[in-house]
Amino acid sequence: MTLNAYLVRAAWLGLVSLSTERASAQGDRPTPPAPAGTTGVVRAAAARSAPSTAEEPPAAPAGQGAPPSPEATPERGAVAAPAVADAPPEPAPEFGGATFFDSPAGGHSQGASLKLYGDTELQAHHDDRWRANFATSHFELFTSADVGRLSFLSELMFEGQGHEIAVDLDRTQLTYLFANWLRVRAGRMHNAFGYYGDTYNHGNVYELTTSRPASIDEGGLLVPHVIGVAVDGTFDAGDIGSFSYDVQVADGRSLTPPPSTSPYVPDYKLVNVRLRWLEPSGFIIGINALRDAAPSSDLADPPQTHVLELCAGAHLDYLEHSYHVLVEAFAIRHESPRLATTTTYGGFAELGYQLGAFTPYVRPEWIRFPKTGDVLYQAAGSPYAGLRDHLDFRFGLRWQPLVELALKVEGQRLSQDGAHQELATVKAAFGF
Amino acid sequence: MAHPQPLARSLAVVALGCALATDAGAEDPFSVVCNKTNEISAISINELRRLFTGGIKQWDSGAVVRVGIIPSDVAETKYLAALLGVTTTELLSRIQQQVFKGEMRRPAVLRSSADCIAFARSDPGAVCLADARAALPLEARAVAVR
Repeated sequence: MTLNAYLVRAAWLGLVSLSTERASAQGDRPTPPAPAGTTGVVRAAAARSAPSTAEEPPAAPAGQGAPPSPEATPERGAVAAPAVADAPPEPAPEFGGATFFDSPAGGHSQGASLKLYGDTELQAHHDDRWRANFATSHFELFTSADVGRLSFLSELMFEGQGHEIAVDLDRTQLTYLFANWLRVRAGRMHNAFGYYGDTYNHGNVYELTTSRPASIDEGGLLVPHVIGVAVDGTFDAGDIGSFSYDVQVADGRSLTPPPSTSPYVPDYKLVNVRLRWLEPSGFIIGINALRDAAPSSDLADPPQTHVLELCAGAHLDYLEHSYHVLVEAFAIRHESPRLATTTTYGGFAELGYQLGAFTPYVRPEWIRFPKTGDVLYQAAGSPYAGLRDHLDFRFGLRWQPLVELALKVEGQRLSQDGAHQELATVKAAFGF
Repeated sequence: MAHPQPLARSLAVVALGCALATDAGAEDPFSVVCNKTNEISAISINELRRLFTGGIKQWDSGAVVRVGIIPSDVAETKYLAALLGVTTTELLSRIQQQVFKGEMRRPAVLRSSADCIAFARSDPGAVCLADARAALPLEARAVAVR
């Protein structure tokens, strides 16, 4: 087994198996060779599915004709043996430290697995001169488990803030699948607004760029996480693809700055609705509507006055045939009881094209704040205070030599009302 | 469902046929295999893509979809990736991402076509790829790819 194959296997099995079902699991075995001597002889599906009898020779496993492999164990032989209709189900094989199919009736537990995600970077920024610093931005423990229609996942994240580390329970959710058109989730989850927000979460190894768009990241404009319940589902529409929906009802922002999801706003629930058309060739077209309430930070407002937040968004995405196209736009309207209503506009486009293991990309992101200033985002001390236009332009190259590893080199120009700063980042992101 | 990428699929099959087969007339060296209780008779490339990336979570039979895959650069996985128009690395990365996102269950980790057949015979929601030459037991069946 090559190192690469071993890493892949290790990642898929999870570095730590918490399953109690099969404590006596066997050790890893070599990956079998590709089917040797594949002749391309194709049998009709009906013939392959025809009942076999005890007189028939044993089924030909992969690698037939090749030297004996570790699969040629009695256990494996029993699995590949001809089936007899009246025969009781044979014991399922175990391999790789876990049993994944041990119940003919289904509904078995796959146990829990733990995966590790993280990234580390070197970032240089230019003000009057270039300076550089190292950072370990994120380290995550991702746990998932499922049994039957019930599944669970949790994402515990250690975030680097300078050289300090903060702990954040980024996601923890329980999900029950009723049908393709109805799935119910409860817990802390990402806000299903647009495409990027709940697609990439914080596994930077899967992201194209070195970090999330500012508008949807922590401390950005849109609420990144919600705590509540969500339902979603997909309806097959035949030749035109399928349609999906998401509805989230959750606690809104806290009255206590900085804005964050918390249970302290019982009178105001965040409601988010997303509708999507999943076109058969891969295009995804979606729209969002979100209603939330947030505390006013303006001194002209009485203490703890809520600002009504209404967000509308649209996204167009295409991630097939080596293309990486994400285009998202949104408008956020804030209505305060005693101040003028304001609207903030923003959006970004992430464009890339994969050339083997390399993907060059660009990502412009733009935010336009209202002339009078936004009561929520542009309070004193906010990084956006006093701004009218925020433009973040990035370009870079992502190299993914392994499924578990992505290396990125990125240049960035950050412009705020004419003032600008250049940054350069080298990042290694992993997921094992 | 409509055939979304007939050219891409044809190219994939031709390329893999050349690479994996020893005779010129080779076709489909691998089959999509599922449990016998699954009544689906044929599957489109788009449906296959959605099955292997969490877009379809339940079969018409009511069974929860459970994907089985050999997570390495073996012929079965290469063939599946080519059918879906992506590289093996990209396919595995996408599956992992969908698991991370919470959109699909962790796939059953297989090591061979024989594993796939054993998986399909024992799990009503199973779907995986196996050597087309392998005889299937009563509890498993092959599904044609449209």
